[in-house]
Amino acid sequence: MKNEDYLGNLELIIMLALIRLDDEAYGVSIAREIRRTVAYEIALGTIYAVLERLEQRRMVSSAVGESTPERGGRAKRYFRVTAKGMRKVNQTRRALAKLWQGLPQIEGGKA
Amino acid sequence: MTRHAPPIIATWVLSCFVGENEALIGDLIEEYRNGRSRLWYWKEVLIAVFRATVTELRAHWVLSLRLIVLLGAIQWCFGHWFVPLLWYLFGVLLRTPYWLPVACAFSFLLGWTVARLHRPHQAAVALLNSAMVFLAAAPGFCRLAEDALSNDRFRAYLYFDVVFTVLLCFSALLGGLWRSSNGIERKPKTPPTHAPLTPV
Repeated sequence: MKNEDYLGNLELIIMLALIRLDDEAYGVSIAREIRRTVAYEIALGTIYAVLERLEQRRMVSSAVGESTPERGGRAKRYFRVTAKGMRKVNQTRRALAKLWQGLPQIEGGKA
Repeated sequence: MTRHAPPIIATWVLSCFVGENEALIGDLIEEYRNGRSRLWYWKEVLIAVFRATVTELRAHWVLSLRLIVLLGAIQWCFGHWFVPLLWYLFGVLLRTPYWLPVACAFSFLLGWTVARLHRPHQAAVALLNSAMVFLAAAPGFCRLAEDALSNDRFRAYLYFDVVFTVLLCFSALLGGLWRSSNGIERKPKTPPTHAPLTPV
């Protein structure tokens, strides 16, 4: 297995946010969703850098949307998870689930 | 400036580095208008600039390496040959107050030229050039700091050197960004609203 078969922490968080937001995933909404669900503040520049990397690996696709005056006339860029991206998310989830299994030290909140 | 207008300089700097990524600029403006502070805006801009530069330089590492060697050589020649020659020829003119604008102008010109010669990666190269200027000044600065710690007489020189180094780096960056911003293709800021989704 190559390293590319699995997603990194940040990549996985962003991919899951994309899945949760479905058709409404663009920079601001992704950052808000992550902040709302896991109270984790990620810079927009970092989100875009990760999304561009994922797009190069064909796990994410993007489309230019509408522009609004409150954005200074700049268009939004909407992102969606591709079929390949969905497969990678599942692979990563299975790998993490295997690693979590049989760890009595962590069960019940004991470190 | 109204509360709703994002910091102009920060937006200009960001557009120099991520000119093609209008969505990122739009996202930052949207968040700022939703109540984020100027400090937050600047922080986000600096993170985006750093990310964009690292990505650009890593993607073109051969060019980056060549540039580091070239800039190092230019700065070495400037420090070891050009400056002593100027001192020899125009010693009086090069007393500190006069020397500062000349050095800044040279630094600006160097930044502009380097950016001009690397058109596709102008902003990233401008930042690299500025970092190289800082690194070239660092050894002298460290020596002076050491002297200032042992003798108060050198403290004034140290303060001057700090200002001098910052101005040199700023001039080099400004020269590169100036060239970079002139090279950005001007696009209409308000495309038709409710446009259908088009694949990028």
